[in-house]
Amino acid sequence: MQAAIETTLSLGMLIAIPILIAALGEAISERAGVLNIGLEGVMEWGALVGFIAVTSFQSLVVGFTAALMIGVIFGLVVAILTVSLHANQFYTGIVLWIFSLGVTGFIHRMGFWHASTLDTSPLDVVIPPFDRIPILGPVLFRTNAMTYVALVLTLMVWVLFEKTRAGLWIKAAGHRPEALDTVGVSVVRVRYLCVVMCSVLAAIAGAHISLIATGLYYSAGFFEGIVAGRGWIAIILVNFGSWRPLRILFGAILIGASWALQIRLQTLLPGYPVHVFLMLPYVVALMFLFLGRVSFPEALGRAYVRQR
Amino acid sequence: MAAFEAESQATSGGAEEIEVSRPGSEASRYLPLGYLALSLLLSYGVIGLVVWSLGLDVTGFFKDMFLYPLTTQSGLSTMLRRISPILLSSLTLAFAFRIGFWNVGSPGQLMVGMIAGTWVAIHLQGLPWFLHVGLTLTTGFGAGALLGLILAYAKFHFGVNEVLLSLLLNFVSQYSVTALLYGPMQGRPLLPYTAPILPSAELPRFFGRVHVGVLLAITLVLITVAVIRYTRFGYMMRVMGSSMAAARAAGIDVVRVGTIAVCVSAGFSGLAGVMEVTGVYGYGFDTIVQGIGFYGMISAFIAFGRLGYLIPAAVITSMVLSTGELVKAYSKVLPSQTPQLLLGLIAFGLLLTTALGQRASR
Repeated sequence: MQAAIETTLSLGMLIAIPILIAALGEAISERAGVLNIGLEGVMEWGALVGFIAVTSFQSLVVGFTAALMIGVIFGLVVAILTVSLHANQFYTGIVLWIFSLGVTGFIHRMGFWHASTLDTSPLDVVIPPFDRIPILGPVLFRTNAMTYVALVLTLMVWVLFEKTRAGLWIKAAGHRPEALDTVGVSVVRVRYLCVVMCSVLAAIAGAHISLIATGLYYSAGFFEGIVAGRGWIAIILVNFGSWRPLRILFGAILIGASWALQIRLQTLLPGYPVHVFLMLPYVVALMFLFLGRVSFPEALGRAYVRQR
Repeated sequence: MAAFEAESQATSGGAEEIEVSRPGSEASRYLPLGYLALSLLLSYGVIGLVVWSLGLDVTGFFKDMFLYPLTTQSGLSTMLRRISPILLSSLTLAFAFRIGFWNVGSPGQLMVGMIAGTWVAIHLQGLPWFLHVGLTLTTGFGAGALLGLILAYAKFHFGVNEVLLSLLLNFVSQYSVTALLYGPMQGRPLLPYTAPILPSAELPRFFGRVHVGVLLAITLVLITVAVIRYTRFGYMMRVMGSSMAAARAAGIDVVRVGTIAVCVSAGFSGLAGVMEVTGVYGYGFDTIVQGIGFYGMISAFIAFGRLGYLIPAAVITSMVLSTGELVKAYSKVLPSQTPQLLLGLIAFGLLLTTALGQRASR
């Protein structure tokens, strides 16, 4: 029984990581006042580009770097459209999502990339004495290097929001952009940086999905629609965690655990169509959506137009 | 696009005005056409480059691409019958959008309408055809509308974001329907197919696989336009679209009008889903409406969110999708995702050109 709980939870932790990384990015962007609804699309790009880079160059570092670069490009596109051109953020996000789905699917089928050459074992981490602790051991100390990256990132975002001046600027850009403008900080620059940061994190999360997370229960590699709603779940998590990194971490772990539980249930209860279980994480996310806060950063979703 | 742009203000609650009427209207009236032309050019330019880089005959490819859906019997029939689901799912987005509501749940609503209507089409025996067809279509519509009711209730009573909710419901409905297709509704061993529907539920067909559903869809769009333009209900919807605050101040029952509008909008997709079964395939299966919801959204974007442009936009979308059948002739060189690429690029081009155009006119 304990072994079952341990495997489920440690799998859940690994599955939660890309959702957590993407949600942290979205939190930064939303705090600055830009609702990046196209998160799912960026993740799709990160998944594809990371996968192509790794299979072409046989290096995970190159894979994640390539994802980072596509994140910068995509972030700039989103920022130009929503911050500079004042396009509707919902419209922008939905179009970019549909665009990404179609184009990544096409590019993937144009090439001949074989997932069999993918080896992510260099990222596996086992820290010997601690991994024997019941429950917590396998979750935290028999895992993947990216898990630690994500946890450190969570702390960094928390410090950014709570302890630094830059964090104050970000929150001001999302709450009272006029005030930020008055003290001489460019709202546009802050928002550009935040949107690009969000996209970079989302793209890395996407690469994590195709290179690591999917391999845990299926086979690593890319297929059309691989992100499977994790982007939407991440946006919901941000709202559920009221834009605070530690609460977002908590929510991400719950989603990851339900995802892992669903995979376990498929084998524990044979005879039911697997689709009954597959919807579990989405149902949990649905509950989160209803539990989420309704009060947003005040200027969220609105382009900043300087008064003359 | 003016419609989509103005809405951003309506959701964020700080809006005064929606119909952004521009000065110098004569020239700007045709601006959307220019945006569309540029987007089509971008999209076909990219595919042209791909075809060229693969060493294929580019002019021949484009000639096939435009002539195939118009001049061949099978191409024309497929193109025409596809108008029905695309038109109705684009109507789903555009109609709810009239009150500033983003119903992007069309993929899920199509699935749910499909499965509910198919059940009626299989199990109600001994009815005269007009009653059976009517009941089947109504059930499909009603099942879609039920999903719409969830959306509207969550939005108007809990303030839940309708975009995220409808996208999540897409996954939940997709999985629920597939589970039904592998479970109680399974009509063929091991496959997610239902049993064939009864002949009395089939829609009359003409010209290959074109069915009366296409005409029904076009009629519904025209009726919707008339309702929005000439009725009291339509007027209330328009006021809500321009400003929720103004609508409330004018004493409009925002929740009631909004709920009805969203339910009807979702019902359109449910209807489209069941008509794919009763009009085209004769049985339901898991991928029957795959992609249609997205194509419908893109079609609504091509129409700039305006109900009056939906019909030509659906024809354009359907024409583009015909490349899907065409690339089979170019198989092993061009992937079957070619239409997705084209539509994705068109949508992206529209987003970019309209945003730039609006910036320039500001």
